[in-house]
Amino acid sequence: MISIFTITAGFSTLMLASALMLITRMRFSSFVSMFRLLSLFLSLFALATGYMEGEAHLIAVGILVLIVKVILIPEFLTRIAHRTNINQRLQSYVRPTALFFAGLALIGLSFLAALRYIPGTENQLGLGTSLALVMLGILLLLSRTDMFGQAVGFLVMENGIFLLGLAMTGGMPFLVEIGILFDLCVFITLIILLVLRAQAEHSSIGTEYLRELVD
Amino acid sequence: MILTLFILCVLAVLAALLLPHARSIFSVVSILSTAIFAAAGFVAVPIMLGIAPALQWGFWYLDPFASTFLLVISFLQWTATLASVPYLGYELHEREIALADVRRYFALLNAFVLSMMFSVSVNNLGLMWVALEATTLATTLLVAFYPRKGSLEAAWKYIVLCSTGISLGLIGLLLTYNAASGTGGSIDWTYLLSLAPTLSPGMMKLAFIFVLIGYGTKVGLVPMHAWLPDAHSRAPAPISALLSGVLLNAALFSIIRYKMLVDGALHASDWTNWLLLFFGVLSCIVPAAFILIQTDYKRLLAYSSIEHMGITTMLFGLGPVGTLAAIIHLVGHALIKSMLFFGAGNILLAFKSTKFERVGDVLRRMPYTGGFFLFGLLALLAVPPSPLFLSEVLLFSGLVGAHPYALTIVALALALIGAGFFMRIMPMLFSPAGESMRETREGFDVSHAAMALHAALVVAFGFALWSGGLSVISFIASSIH
Repeated sequence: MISIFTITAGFSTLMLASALMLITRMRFSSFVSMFRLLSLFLSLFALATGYMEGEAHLIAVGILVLIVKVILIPEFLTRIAHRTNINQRLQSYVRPTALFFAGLALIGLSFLAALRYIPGTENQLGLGTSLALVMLGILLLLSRTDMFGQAVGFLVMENGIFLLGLAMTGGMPFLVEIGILFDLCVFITLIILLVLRAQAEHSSIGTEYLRELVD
Repeated sequence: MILTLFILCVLAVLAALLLPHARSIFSVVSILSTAIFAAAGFVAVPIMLGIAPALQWGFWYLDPFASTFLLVISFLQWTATLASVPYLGYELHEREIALADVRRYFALLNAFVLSMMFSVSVNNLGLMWVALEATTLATTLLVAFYPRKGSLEAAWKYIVLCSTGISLGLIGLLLTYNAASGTGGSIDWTYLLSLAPTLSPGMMKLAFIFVLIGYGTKVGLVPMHAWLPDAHSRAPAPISALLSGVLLNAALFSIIRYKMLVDGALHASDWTNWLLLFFGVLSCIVPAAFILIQTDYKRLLAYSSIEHMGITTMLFGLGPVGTLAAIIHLVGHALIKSMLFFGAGNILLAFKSTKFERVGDVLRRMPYTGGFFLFGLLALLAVPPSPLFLSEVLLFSGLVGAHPYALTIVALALALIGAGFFMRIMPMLFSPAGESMRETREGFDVSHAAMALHAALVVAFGFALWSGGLSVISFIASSIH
């Protein structure tokens, strides 16, 4: 019989590895595929936990995450990118190798923080992983200088928070999870609308065109 | 009855999307928004006056504090809808926008109002988070409403910064849920409040830090305020009025809900008060610098909103008297700032610019708008009988004993802001302008009626505070402890 710990350890490793790969990808298509992979591991983890603990609502949430984050959002992003001839090459302040090491350092720090500062949880492995995902998402948000990179950074962070919910509370109430996923779908729709507008206005999704409003 | 409110909002969204002409959209949406205000008043006023007990039913919970917010939101959506009619009507006439834009505007406006009213009246902290995120999503396209330079940037900053911030707030919620787990699994606020003394203090402290940073981004607390001046200056004026008047307040409302839980867990309020004071003081000094060098009157008003949210946050950190003053300040600021934004909208329509250098002689050329703008300006600077006078006096008296250094800094910041307002806005109102101005004399329209209503309420509120109104406010404040 596989224990919950083994499952958590296995999926944590897979998620962290795919997130590390994700932050260093500079081509749009492999960037989105890596995000898809990360979300796939996340939803499988939710499904596995739900199955082993016999929690029906976790299984339902896992399926919803599968539909929204693995199928709908990546599909939506790729289609829009193809239709509008968006430049495949993404932009970043920092070189991919430097991002890789920064990512490794953040993962280390997250685990350190989870072990030392957050008291009273059995699941420190899941906790460390989720903090690391949040940090990697923020790293993407700060380092990328194109709209897609920042939007995916936000999604990675959201994945980390979802995992945090699993690790700390066994998932939020079902209604709240549905609300959060609904907000996420609207968020992505808005992001796409803004990307389309940027492409129409500047023929570019780089954020260097979005730096005029200063005092 | 609460459901009626939400149904009316949904009807207004549908009306905006389905009705055939701009004229019919204007009238139906105005009628529905009046109905929303009336219904909210019917629910909220008895609870605020203590005639009816706090309402707890199904998902909903309305104590006097939440009812106050509900009433302010419904009132401002009413006047903002009324002020939108001449504003959009003028732009339609000038062919700057089309019928599709009017539909989009009112549909999003009502979705925004719906999510705000939802967020203050829902008991479940998770759904409160969902509603607050929904307010960001509903307003993003309103910030990007005009195809002008900079509005895309403002909308992008707005959605990315606010969504990221509020996601950190979600971490705070998860920590709170974890602190309460093993006790039934509900995240209803009333339930958590009854458990508060048993919650783990360490976990709740950590949760509050995330909540304050996260929801504080939406309140516009410095240093998480970067989105605010851009979003306020790019959105259509009635939307800026709603953003400033009630959206920031709704986010602050959630922080206060969490503060009560954390205070319960710590058996003291010193720790949370200290954090609120810290961010409040910071949010007073930074805008002071930007107001002094400002060249754009909508951005100036936006920075002033940051300052006033800072003052309110500080007041919430000053114990029971502070809480009383905070409620006065919230309501007063909401009324005054939205009125100023309505005025700013009229000035923008007339002069086609938000820069001070392009605008002048407003009082002579636009006597109604200019007059109300001047009134609002003085009320915002807490000239009596403005209700803000009392709340700022209480702020100073609260700070003088406990935090003399903070008092010095805040007094200096407020003096600079007053100077900045006079230096920037007085020339705009009184000095002769450039040429870019239509010469027709300004007529009195619905937007002036809305401003007049706000002005009358500000004066009435100010006088009521000296003659018995204070007992109502202290009853409302007593529901926050």
